[in-house]
Amino acid sequence: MRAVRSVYVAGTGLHPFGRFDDKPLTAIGAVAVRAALAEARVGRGGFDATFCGCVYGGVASGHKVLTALGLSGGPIVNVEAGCASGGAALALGVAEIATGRAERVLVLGLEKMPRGMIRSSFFDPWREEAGLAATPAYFALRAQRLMRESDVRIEDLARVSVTYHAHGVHNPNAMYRKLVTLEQVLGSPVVCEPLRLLMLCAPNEGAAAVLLSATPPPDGPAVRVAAVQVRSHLAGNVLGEHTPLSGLVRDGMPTPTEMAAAAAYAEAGVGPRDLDLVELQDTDAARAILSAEELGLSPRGGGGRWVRDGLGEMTSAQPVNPSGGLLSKGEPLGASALAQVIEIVWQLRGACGARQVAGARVGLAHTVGRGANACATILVR
Amino acid sequence: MGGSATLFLHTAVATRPPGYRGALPYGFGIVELPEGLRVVTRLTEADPAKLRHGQAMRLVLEPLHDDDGVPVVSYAYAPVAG
Repeated sequence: MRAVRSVYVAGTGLHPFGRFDDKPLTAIGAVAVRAALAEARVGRGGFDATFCGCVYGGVASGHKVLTALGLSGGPIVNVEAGCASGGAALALGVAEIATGRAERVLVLGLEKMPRGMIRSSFFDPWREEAGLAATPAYFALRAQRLMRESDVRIEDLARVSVTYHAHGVHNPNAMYRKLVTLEQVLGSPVVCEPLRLLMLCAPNEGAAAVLLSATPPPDGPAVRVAAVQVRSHLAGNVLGEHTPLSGLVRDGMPTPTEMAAAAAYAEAGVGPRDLDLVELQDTDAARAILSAEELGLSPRGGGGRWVRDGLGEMTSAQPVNPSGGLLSKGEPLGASALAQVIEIVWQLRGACGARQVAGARVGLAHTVGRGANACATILVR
Repeated sequence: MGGSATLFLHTAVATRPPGYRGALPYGFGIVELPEGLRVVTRLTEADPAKLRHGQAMRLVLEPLHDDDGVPVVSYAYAPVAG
């Protein structure tokens, strides 16, 4: 779709990512929405539609949040697209404004993830009984393949975790705000060979909300959504996030992330070299490297070298996951994509303090998850 | 389809995944069938160090658990001996 009108981010709000046993999902979502509306100086009835990303919240998650804050009668649509749910909700919200159907749209994402290995209705009961619903094992196989088919080493996976944890120390909304060493990551328990515990993100809780507007904010820097694209998988890739039972022995097919990124770069009129910072999906450390390759930040097959050269670190020309990534924030599925978008908005506004990427003007946010949907969003100041 | 395959990727699962009542740890991987398919499967070998990429595998039935005295089994792939 070609945008006929520009879409601006007028308000942002986050509920920190972590574990909040005494706080219901609706209350967590309300914190993020209240902050986004306050920043945009928009009150009840001040937006035309709401799109809400949520996976584990059950019926009408978004409606319940808005009921708690005051209903206005506009449409509220709950969106599920796995880890890309928030990105898919954003894409729908942007389209409403770009096509002129709405002036202001609220987009939120919220989640309270179950503890332990995540149960997913994606897997049929027989597949659970056979032990084939072991999500980290699929990540492990993908990591093994990445290491076999390129020069990515186990130390590279550990370094990704060390780097993002170091970034997360400066993010007050992250769950794990502590430094880890290479030795600690390599020495943490093996979950599924080759992945160690500190190479995997933890499912948790949190919320994020943005208020989109057809008009730029009256004061401060205006951040525009230059592109938002969602793509799903093609048949054949047995190691895609959609974790199918079987696939074709055929390699070289574009992945959902490659398709979403290509479409987003075309829509925004920029390329990977133009990005000042990137927030990408790092469900596990190998996924982070693969994401960097699929987004064009590193050549295909060059991800190991990309890590060893320190690319993506805060001192590099193109920092990746300055927020700390999912590895230090944790992953509340419905909220994670919008939290990445908010990190980019804050970076482009120059409001990130100790983790600020100097002079950032263009950023990309990327999620990919079960379905398998990938979302690429490009924001420009 | 015949029962032969080659090992494409392999790991092991040591933490009980949702809905699973069988033994731990167990092998988990992807095999390639000569018909041109890759299939996600249990592996009868739970030690990743004892498996290697490309080795010959064969289709077997593996017991999972008993359901009121009725054995429940799954397909799995086992290394071809020798």
